[in-house]
Amino acid sequence: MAAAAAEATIDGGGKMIILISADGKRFEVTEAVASQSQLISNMIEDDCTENGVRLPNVDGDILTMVVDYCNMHAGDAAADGDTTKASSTEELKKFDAELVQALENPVLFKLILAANFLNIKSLLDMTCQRVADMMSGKTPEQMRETFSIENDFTPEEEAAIRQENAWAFDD
Amino acid sequence: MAAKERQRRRRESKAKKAWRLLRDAPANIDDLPDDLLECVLLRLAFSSPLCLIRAAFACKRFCRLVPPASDPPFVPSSSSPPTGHCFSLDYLPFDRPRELIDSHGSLLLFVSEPLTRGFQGIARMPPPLGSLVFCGAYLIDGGGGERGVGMSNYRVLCMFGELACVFSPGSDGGWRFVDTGAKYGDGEDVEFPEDTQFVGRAAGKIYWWAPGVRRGHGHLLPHGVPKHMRWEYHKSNLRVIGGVDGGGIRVVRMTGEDLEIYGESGGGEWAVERSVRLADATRGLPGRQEVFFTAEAPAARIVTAGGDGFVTLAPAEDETWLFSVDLETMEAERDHERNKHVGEAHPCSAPPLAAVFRACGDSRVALPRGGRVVEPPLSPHPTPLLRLAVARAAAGKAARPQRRRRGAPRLLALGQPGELPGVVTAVTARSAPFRPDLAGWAGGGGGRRWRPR
Repeated sequence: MAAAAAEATIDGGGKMIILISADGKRFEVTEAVASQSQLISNMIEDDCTENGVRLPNVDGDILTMVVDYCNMHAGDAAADGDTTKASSTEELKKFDAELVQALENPVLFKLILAANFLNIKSLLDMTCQRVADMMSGKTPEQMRETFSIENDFTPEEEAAIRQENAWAFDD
Repeated sequence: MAAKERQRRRRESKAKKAWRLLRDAPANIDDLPDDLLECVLLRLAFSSPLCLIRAAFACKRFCRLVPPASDPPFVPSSSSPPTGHCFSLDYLPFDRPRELIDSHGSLLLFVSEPLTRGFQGIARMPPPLGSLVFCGAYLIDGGGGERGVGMSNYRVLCMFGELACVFSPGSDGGWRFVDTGAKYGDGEDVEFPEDTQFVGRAAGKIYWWAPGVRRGHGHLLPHGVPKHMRWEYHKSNLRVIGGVDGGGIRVVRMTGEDLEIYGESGGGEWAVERSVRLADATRGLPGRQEVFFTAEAPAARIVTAGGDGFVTLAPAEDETWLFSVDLETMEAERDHERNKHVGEAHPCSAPPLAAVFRACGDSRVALPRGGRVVEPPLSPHPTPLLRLAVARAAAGKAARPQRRRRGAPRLLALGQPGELPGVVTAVTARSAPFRPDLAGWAGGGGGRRWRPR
């Protein structure tokens, strides 16, 4: 364990941080990976990551995704050399696309909330964009269905809206 | 073996349980706090404003979070950034010839023919005024002491005969009648005859030439013209410019063969500051023909004046041979981009981003007696129609006819929000197909794009 940590230190060029999810799963990541989260970055600065960072409102499964994402993107900032960077950018894009495409609704929103909580801007951007993409091209009914939204307009209000704005609803 | 199988099953069921938990957990769009949902909606607005509108009708919360009408969502002029100095206005909600009639700051004002499209979402004239002579519409600064114009801070001034009305956006906006204050020296109200000509904008004032209304000769409004300058003017031979940053007002006029710049010389007197004989100034320019500037030739026409310190002119003999005269040095040149646009160029401070506004044109209002009564606003709360209009324009839905309506001219303003821009560019109007070119008058046209907050 100690040897592995030491190896990782040489490899990642930094201290290891342990993240602990709500269900007690532990994730060991390098400081560089973890500090993509502004929240953890601040904690590192304040030196309060000694005993692991407890994230009681983030599920293990969600945290797995977040850690995967951060691991993939940790190279972003550090990557040198144009050729390797170009290919890795491509790879990253593919990884990101696959990650968000595969997400089911509840997971997607949990991931948004987690990204928001951990303050990982790029992940938040990506997931919000995914929701926007899911809304795109849908009628209000389809949106309600997709996102289990309750229609709280009265029938009269809805009829008025439809009549007035027929063009927005016809296809 | 059995123990191992049990363990595997236990593991599997545990994973399934976690998955189920995750699936059944109450995490939905409702769980996103307002700021995150707003984030999502803004992204939606950027990729598809039409969908933003549809989203607004999914539930009340969405409706509330869609940007309010007083802060209309801006949409990019097209999905692709402008190429070079050109950008397409294809997304505008009409496909017939439309006239770019005014610009101010980064806003552009269009009038579409009343019969072309029954487009919902464009401010329409109040119906009773539709029967009066329409003498022009102009973009002016927003009210309330705010300086400059923006999409939520502008007014449109419409002149109808001696009547003027002003449209202002926002929840308390709409059309109002105003006193133009245009009077002759003896206090008599000025009427705007049908052929009143807009001749420029300077120092916060709009100048018209009102031909032949009294005493057989025209009038420059709001100022008169000294006797020695009386002439039959129109916008091709008279322009009022300047007044920028406290600078003086200049009158540019073409008199036969000369281009003259007048400045105010105290005591309300106008005096020639500079003048140049066009035949001399243009000598040596490529493509120039002797016949353009002979004493017998009709006077050259002013195409565009002001903006960037140049006057663009075209000889009557060849309307496409444009040249510009530097107002400081009075030297002529032909190479600049501005000399390629035959139509009137409207200064525009940024590539326009479209927003269409709509006033409630169906409200009835009585014409005030005497024509100078300030009436209550015609427009009720314009939401959410404003947003719908924006979306529609951006979605390019205009190509399909909606309800056909007869009525007064409709107006469309488009522009870019934000601070007063440094780059002055211009948009010129052409007849259909309308693809105005954005000339890089001060060295840069494209580049700046609006991004969601």
